[in-house]
Amino acid sequence: MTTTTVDVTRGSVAWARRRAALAGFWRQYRRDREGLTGLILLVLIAAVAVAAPLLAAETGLSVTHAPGRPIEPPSGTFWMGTDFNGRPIMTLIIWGSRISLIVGFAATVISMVIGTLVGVLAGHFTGWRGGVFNKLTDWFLVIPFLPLAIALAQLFHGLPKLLAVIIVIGITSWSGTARLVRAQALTVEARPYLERAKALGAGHWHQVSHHVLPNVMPLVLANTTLTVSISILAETTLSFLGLGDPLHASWGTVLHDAYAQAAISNGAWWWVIFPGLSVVVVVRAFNMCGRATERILDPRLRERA
Amino acid sequence: MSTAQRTGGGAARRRLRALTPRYVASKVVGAAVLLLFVTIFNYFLFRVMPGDPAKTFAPRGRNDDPAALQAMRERMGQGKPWWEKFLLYLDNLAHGELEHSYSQHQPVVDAIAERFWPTVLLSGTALVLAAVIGMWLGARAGWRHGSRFDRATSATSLTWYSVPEWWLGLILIIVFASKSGLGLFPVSGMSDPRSDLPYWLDVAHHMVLPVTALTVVYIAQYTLVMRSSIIDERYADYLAAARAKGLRDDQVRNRHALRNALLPSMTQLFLSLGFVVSGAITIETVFSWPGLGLLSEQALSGPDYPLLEGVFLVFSAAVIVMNLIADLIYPLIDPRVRAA
Amino acid sequence: MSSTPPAPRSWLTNQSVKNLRVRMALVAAVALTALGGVAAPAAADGTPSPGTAVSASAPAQSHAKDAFVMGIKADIDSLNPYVGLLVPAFDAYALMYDYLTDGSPQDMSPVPSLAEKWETSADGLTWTFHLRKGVKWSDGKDLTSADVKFSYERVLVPDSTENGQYGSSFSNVTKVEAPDADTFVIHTSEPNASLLAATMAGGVPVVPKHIWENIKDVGSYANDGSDGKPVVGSGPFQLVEAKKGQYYRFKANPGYWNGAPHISELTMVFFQNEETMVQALEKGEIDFISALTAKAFNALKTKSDPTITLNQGPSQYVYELGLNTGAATVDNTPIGDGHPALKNVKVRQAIEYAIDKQTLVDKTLLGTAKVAYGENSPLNSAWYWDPPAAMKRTFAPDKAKQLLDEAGYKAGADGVRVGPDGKPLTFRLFARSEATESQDQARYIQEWLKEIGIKADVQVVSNDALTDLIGKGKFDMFLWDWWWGPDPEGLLSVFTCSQRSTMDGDAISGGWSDSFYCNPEFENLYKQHVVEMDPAKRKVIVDKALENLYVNAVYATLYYDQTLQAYRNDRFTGFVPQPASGGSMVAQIGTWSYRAIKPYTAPAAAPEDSGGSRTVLIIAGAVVLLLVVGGAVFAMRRRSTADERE
Repeated sequence: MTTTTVDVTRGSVAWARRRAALAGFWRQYRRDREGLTGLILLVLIAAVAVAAPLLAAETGLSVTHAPGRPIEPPSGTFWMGTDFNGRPIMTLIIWGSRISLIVGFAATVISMVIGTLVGVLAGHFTGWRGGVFNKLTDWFLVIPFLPLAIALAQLFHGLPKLLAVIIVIGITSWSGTARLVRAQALTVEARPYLERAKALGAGHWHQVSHHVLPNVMPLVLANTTLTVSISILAETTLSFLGLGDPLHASWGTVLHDAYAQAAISNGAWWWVIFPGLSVVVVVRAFNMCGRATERILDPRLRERA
Repeated sequence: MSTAQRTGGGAARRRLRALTPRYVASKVVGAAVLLLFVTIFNYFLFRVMPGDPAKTFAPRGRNDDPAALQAMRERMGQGKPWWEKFLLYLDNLAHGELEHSYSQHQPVVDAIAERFWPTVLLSGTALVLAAVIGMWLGARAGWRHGSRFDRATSATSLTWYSVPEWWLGLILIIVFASKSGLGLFPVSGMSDPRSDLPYWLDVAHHMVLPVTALTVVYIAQYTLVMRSSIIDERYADYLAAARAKGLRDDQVRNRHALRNALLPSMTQLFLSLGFVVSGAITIETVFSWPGLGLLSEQALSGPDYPLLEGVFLVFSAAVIVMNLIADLIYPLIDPRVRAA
Repeated sequence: MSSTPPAPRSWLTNQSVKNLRVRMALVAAVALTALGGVAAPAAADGTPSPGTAVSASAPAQSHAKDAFVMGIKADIDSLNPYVGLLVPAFDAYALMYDYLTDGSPQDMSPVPSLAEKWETSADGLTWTFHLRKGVKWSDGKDLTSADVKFSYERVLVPDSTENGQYGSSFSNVTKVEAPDADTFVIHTSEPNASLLAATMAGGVPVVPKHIWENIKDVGSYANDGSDGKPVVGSGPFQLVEAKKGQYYRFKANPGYWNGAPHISELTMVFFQNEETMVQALEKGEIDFISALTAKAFNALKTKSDPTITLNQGPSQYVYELGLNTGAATVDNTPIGDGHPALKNVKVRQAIEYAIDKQTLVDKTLLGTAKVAYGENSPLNSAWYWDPPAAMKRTFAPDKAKQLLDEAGYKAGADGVRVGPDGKPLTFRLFARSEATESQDQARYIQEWLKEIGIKADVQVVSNDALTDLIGKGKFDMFLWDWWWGPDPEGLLSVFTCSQRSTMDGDAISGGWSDSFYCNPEFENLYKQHVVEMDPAKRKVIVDKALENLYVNAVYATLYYDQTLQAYRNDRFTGFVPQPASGGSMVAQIGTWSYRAIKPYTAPAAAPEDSGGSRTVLIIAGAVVLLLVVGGAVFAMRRRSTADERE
């Protein structure tokens, strides 16, 4: 988003340069087998999430009109079996992919915005102001993620649960990004053209928005894919601990229900295995994309690839 | 990113210069400030939590009169001005005291002390195993960079890394502990009061599954770090010199590359040590392992804020202290610093 | 001690170097776990001197067949009888201490325990208990009326911890005294029909004066032997080892006045997780599970393992859909933001008509509960009241719609009814994060209410948050439950005007009322039943009070929960249910089962497990092992290529 505003003000030359860079990136990405596999998987999963109403009738989510009997094993009718309410697990997974992905992406956006902001500010400002942002980052780095998330989940109990989960994951996972961005911002700050901009009297906002941010964004975006996978895992874990939104089927809440309703003792393995595998596949796919992007953007790795 | 610094001699000199009283003092003060910051944040975070704990812990169905309820509230310190309570809190903390747990009916400090070592035992073992196995795999994979083994190791460890550890724990229980499975290991707990085994062996038996779940998931961190630092070293000039001396490939790796590549992994290990106490919340929940993770999960029902607060403080303090130790001994373990 | 034999000397020479490395890795791993194991004892009890606790436990462990182990789902929160609040904690107190009276195993009516007999004065103001002679504390001292007086007196101290725990039934007790070593007397200012119930197990325990008079801070006393002093009691079992979060071991008291138990030890093992508890029972790691959820119970039921006996009986838990009938404080100041429509009794009745309770029970509890109408549990049979069939509001959506029409709520554009005031019938429905079944049930109720034109906005909150919301009147509907004791006073008091919230300045603190019901006729009945000492006359009053609650639809009472238990019949036998017809086998009023059970001795060939659940292993095993095998294959390949190179 930031890039587009910059592009508009800088005119078409910069736009063309960026388009060329993007094309170059894609050329390299296309040749990365791992990255491509991940991307195809993600596109498939996203397609499932978007086409959920076409793939599985929404009535499958209703408890009073559930199509199946309690815990039916996988069959021709119910490919992944049913839960205790007789709802098809596949319907829950298909519709749950929406929630899982929304939580993953929304939390990532929050995390990236905070992380980028704090990182850029910590890198841009010198003296105590930078120190404060730096300390803030340090501090969030030392607080163990899950306990903080648990504590914050208590704090946000008044919000709708889904929103609370998104916010909690967002504000607990930005510190890594901030650290990364700060390092990058520091190198950018040292470049001559920024000296020139300062000499010409550019304000902090101009320096940051026109010079620091555009240079930092590619790294941030590469980092995004990894953050999404972490957020999806976090949603699953928070749901498992009973801090998720039990009213919206996400993969995490389906697993939580299975655990809370003794699916294993009842021999309903399908209720545990399929949603779990969905999590593993989507997290792995984001990992693949993230690593491929990193390889391409980090020249040190590229030389060796 | 940091690898760029590690190649030149300048970085080593900087580090040597860094371990001065001034460096040590700045690190200690930094940690102390962070600790204070965490304490204050922690305190106020849990003070804005909603609810009336007195009501929560007096169960429904038993008729307490308002006076008794009020007495309970006063016991919990409600009704005093916030700054008075905060000063009292800091004073108590300075004496190593935390508040009283509503749900455990014992001082939070005692509750935490009981659960501290089981957690260190569980996650510590898993951490050491993950680090050793991960570094071993990473070193091999990095050395044969691009080989089939490399790709398989990276792919496998990253796949495991994508698995929620508690889900893996559940599956391990199904397969290895349940009656319908192999039934080789106990399903839950840290020891069996009826066991015929010596106590330590009984505990070890109970540890196998949770440690496996944690280890397998965390291997990837060490594999990847080790792999990338070995790749860095592999192309360094001094290795070419070593090869020119006629050393065999594995000798070059073990005597030269590995030694230098160990540093980032050791850093990673040190930084993870602080997370040992907080790293196993879900696994402890699944296996009813009587550690701090299980305690936090127990504190969640209620919720028992003083207990959550205490556990949270211990979790953060552990990380801060371990980071400080890492900062202080990091210059000492850097071989290039010693060589200089 | 060590189980690994010393390695033979030839061991090194027999191995190839490659294998040696693998072995060394294994040895290292074992050593590591061993180190951990050694470190653990100090860790587990957290005392600076680990030697005492460990030596008491580890070597002296009895692996005898007569050591009974039961799984508990909630950890014992405290072994101090003045602080603990959870069911297993009260079970532990009953093991360790005695009470003046017990609840009979047949119907929970008061029967002699420490008091051999008792009588009430003609005016109902004086209770005299005649104590059993020759009862001894576990340290050998005699249990006398001085101990009883000491135990009861501390409960009477206003605002004390002890009073907070047990004082509610003693508000009109003026004095207790011990005229001689075997007699104990309670004086009350007015007749107190619920006093005797408070002397039963679960009520005031009789603790040794010579121990407890020296304990300064009762509120934080652990009473688990961690201060180095043995825990002294007179009950059928004594605490020998307490490991919080793990297990609690009790040893049988061979000199118990009512006969020594037939088991040598009783251990309660804590499980955070029901799945593993069920697995542990199936494997025989534990012998008994006392409170199963319906789904876990179903698992054991469908497997029908002949070595596991299931017990399903009534409990004292009653589940309701709570309704905000108009939140106000005790002085009738309206508080909160409850939907005004719920003040209308027709709307409340319509809600009950819309709920298919039988389906709710069948689907969310797999039929393990009984549909409820009246508020008291049938287990409290003496005070149970069930509405006559004509009065029952059974599932009838049309009737519900008709009632809403009559009340003036016409269907709106989006299917949600709108009142004359233009306010749509949108109610908040709170389910609880601690109770998974309530979340499940909220979905059903939401869908049923939708059919009659009521929109339920379901929110899941913690017990704590919900208590707060209810106290402030910021709710419309919620799903929760009550545990009703044998005496109806507790139940009825919850619906009295004085249990509504109180306001102190701006701060509102909730009472026990979660309906904010305040009905003059009901108040009258409540007052009458407290002082009526004749059980038959009291019954008539209580019935009327319960009928009043039902007619006014204060709650939509949903179901009477059942106690679901399971045990290994190849291990122990002789359980005593309370009440006699399918009642609970543990967590009773008294220790009937614990004292009666015997190890099962007849040889029984353990039959093979039914094949169905093997599928679980195969599927899950495949998933897990796939990558392990894959990794191994790659490792081997790499090894072979490495060998080729060398």
